Amino acid sequence: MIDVDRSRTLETLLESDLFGVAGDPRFDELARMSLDMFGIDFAAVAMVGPESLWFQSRHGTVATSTERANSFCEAAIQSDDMLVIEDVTKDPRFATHPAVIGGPGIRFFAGQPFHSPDGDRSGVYCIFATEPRQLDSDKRKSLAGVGQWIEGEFLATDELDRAAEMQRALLPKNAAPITGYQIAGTCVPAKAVGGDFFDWYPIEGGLGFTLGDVMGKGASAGILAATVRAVVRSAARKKNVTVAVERTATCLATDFGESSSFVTLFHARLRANDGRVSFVDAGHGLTAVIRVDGTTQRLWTSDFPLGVMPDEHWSRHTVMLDPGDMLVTFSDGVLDLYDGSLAAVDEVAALARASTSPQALVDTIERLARSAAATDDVTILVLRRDQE
Amino acid sequence: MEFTVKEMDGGVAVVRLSGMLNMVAASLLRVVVGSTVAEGHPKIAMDLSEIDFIDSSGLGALIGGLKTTRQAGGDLRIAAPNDQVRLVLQLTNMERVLTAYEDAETAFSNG
Repeated sequence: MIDVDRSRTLETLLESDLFGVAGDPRFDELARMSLDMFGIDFAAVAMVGPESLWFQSRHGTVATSTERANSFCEAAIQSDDMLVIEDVTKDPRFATHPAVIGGPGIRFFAGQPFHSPDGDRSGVYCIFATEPRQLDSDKRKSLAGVGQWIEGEFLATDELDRAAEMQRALLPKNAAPITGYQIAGTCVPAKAVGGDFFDWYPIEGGLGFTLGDVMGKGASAGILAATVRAVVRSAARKKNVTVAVERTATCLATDFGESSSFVTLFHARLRANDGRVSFVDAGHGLTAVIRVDGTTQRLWTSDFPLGVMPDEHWSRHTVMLDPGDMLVTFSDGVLDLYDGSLAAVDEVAALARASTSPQALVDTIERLARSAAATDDVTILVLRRDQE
Repeated sequence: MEFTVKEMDGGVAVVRLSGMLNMVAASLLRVVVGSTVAEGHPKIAMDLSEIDFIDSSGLGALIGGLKTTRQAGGDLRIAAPNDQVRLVLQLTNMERVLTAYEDAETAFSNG
């Protein structure tokens, strides 16, 4: 027996999250090109829900969804093979179909089912015409090819989704690893995966934390970001904060020298009992302490990013966090949420002062990044020492 | 991105770039620098006055060009970057090695 509520929920999910009204640009273009390619009047990529079909991308049609039962697409799904009906008025299944006897007056239909990466029937690529049509063997090959292309696109998306999931899993999750401090962070990649990362973990007497930005975007930057995170962490037991950075630089020079990539990094160790933060800034430049007294102190050094110059060294600096003070470090994607200049530091500081907690500030930046559809990865990490 | 290469006396080449210096342009720039150096011009002056925007990949290409030219006994110098390019160089401290000159044609006039 079908659990009606559950299937309704699934339908809603399908409609809102996966196949939203906006459509997918890849498939929108496909639908548009199909009109000429096949000499037809309407084309659509239909996704299968439990009871309905969603026309995710369509050209020449207005409907966004239809009942599965008795539909052209359903016939193609059930056949699980290409279905071509050259003159629907001669097909007893469809001769009296509302879309045949009424508007838009369908006379020709062809559908090519396609499958999800798991092999499930996930949808049908459909073409319609208002006059009967012949579909010769070349066009049939093209139709089958379109089905394969769609499956390839879904596979690529699926693999990227898994990579994104893996990258999210590498971000710290426990919110309060030490008493007396609150920490929060977020990373909003511009693509499925990105080159930004942040990290924090307990160290003896305090907390280690890092924010890094690998050159470029996408999967290659993501692989390098995961490597940098791991190498920095490997020095968690080394008391001198520069060890992690120099170890990472060596790794980049030996393993990634050929890729001529570079990384900007802010890496720090907090001593919890007195709020002393020792840090290295490797060409990152976007860290500030927002003081409870109303002042903002930008932390900058003259050190290079990692992977730029051979035999480079990084210097150790310190700053004190007094009760109520907040340290904010972020990637340059945050600048683009404002006017792209350093004025963004003051904007973030103002937001920080208006925020009740590090998490509240992080949530605000994340909302801005998502609503701006940022073209660069947006990452922020916020540490605040509690008021006594 | 579009570019032109003008060969000058003393092994200096002036490379003029325009448009966005991003991931796509970065690959092209690496090729341009590599071939310019290979043709006997290890001193490259990059005219950035027509560059609207640089991202980290674009900066990576400039850094790569700096390494390539220095390994060949030359140098890479930049001229006339806009505010956005200057900010990227400033934040990363790369202005320490990629000093901005006013004019590409005279960037090497002091040697």
